Amino acid sequence: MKDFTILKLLDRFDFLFKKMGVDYPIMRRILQVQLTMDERRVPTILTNQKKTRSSNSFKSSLITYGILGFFIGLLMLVPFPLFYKMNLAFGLIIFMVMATMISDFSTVLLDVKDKNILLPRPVDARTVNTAKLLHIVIYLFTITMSISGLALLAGLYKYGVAFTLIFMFELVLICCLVVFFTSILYMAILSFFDGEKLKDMINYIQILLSVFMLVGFQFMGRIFNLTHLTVAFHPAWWHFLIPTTWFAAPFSLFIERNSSQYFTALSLLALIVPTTATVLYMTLVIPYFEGKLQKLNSSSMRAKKGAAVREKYSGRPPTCFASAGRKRLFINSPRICCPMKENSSCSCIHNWLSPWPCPF
Amino acid sequence: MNLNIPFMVITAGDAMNTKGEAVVSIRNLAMSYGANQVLRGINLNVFQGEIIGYIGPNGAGKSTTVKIILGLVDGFKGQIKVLGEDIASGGIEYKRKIGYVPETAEVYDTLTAHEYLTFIGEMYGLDFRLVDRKAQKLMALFDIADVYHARIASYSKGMKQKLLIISSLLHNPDILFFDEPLSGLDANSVMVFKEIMTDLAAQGKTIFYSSHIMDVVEKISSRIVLINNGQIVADGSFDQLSQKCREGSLEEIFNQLTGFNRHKEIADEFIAVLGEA
Ligand SMILES: Nc1ncnc2c1ncn2[C@@H]1O[C@H](COP(=O)(O)OP(=O)(O)OP(=O)(O)O)[C@@H](O)[C@H]1O
Ligand SMILES: [Mg+2]
Repeated sequence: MKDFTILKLLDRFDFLFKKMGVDYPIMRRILQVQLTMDERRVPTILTNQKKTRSSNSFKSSLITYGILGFFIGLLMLVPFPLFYKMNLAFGLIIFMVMATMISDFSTVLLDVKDKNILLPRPVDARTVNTAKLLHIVIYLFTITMSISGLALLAGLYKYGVAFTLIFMFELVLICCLVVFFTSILYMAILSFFDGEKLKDMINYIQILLSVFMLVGFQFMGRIFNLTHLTVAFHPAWWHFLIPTTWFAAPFSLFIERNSSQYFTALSLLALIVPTTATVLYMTLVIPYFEGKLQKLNSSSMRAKKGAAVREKYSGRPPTCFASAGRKRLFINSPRICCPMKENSSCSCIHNWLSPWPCPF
Repeated sequence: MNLNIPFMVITAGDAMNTKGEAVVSIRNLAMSYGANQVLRGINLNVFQGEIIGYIGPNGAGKSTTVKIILGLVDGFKGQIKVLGEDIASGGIEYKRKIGYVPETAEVYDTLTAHEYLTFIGEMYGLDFRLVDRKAQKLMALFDIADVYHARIASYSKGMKQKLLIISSLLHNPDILFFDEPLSGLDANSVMVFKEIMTDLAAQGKTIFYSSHIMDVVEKISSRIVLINNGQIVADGSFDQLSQKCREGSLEEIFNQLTGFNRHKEIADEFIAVLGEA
């Protein structure tokens, strides 16, 4: 089995894990297996080939992200005000990371197979949970970097080190926020539906998210009045509700030195909201999931509660969202983007992305 | 569906107590999934060297019992001790001495057998090379050596089952929980596996297994435990059961104790439904 670079990196911090009461060698082994499997999720047709075929679906999805990242990188070089550019860039980054997380979080967070394989072995819960957490972090990091890596470099070239540092720091904040929102979403779904229904629900949510982002992009476009090729913009109260403005503001503040109250306030939000979200995640969401996971297997109780709602919607696919043509796209598309799960529901991200109407 | 249990059969416990402390002891185990009460007070002591055939109708709660002991299912009532350790205490040490074949093939099937088995072995703290060597030999003995480096997803059902059996035995455990271990195995492999079980028990290992293949259970179990409606309705050696029930085969005992005698009528009705236009 391949020894991943990231694991070698982790080896340097093994004392930290030991201090936390984690059985490091075991945790490392679990992570190694998880990462190997991430690399291998291929359509089941190919599975009869013996041993390692180098068709690596995770890498191919990273390339897709890289292409998007290339455009975000180009965007950095366009001579527009930073606030505008960064709004756009963060909009795309948040959307992509969020969409990927929503479809893949379930396999990481609610994986029953993992539980069934590891629990009968003499491995303590802390070690398993740490491995799980690290798995999410590594996964999130890889995706975020493949999307924004080029933008980071382009920004470094054009604006210098300060830009890159702010960008990197904000990416961490964004990841925290995305994890928080994704888990809140899962909490909401799980309190209405049982685990089995989760997959279907995630499909619907992705569609909703796409619509939501579409509307969001429209608003984002409206922040600026692109008249006569000069970008003008006027602060308004609702700008504060759009996360991309929070993360774009510090660039205006620190790089372009627009030290208005408006930018300062937005920058503060960029710091406060993700931090609060992370604290909430640690104190409320994680314990909630621990409890929920245990009940996830006993589906019959919740089934009754959700039954009424389900009945209402069952057998009625969201045809209202998609024209016939797009629906076909939906079904036929190859599953390229889904490294983490086999019965993937995330192919629709790409389909929703490809016919994406440009709002600008 | 309140069946009249013909009689409470044999509690072999008294006779067996002389064997010393139970390796697995289950006290008043109750479990329900929502409103569905699956287990209603199971009491069982399992002693070293026993081969216990745990049988019962579909949905009786056999797998549930085993999963609870392995710590896979929470929310049960009652007390379970494995090798003297209360499983509710959260300790993991007792799991080093346990091997488990689950009823469904839960494996990481994008891995190869080589990768999976060495991984599992290392979870028990075994050395990589040792596990690798053992795994390879065991695979060869089960006649699946050629797929050692192929992905598990490409295995047939029986091959997967053999892999599960190997993965449960790699660390040479003292207590074995087999949940329908024979499912998918061909006749030759069943013979091998029956022999293995008998030999393991002769070595002093304890085996707790559930199966629906009555003649296998009849032949190799030193003790048979039958559950129905969440309770133990029979517990004893095959000879004891057949004496009490005055039936010749375990299948008939099973029918009698689960209050089942309508197989002919049901089959006829089934066929009748198939013919409905
Ligand atoms: N995750 C679950 N959620 C809800 N109910 C469950 C769950 N698992 C099992 N049950 C219920 O518990 C009961 C016992 O199931 P179990 O799997 O223990 O049966 P079993 O005796 O192993 O049957 P079989 O012979 O078919 O393997 C069944 O009624 C089943 O519906
Ligand atoms: Mg079962």
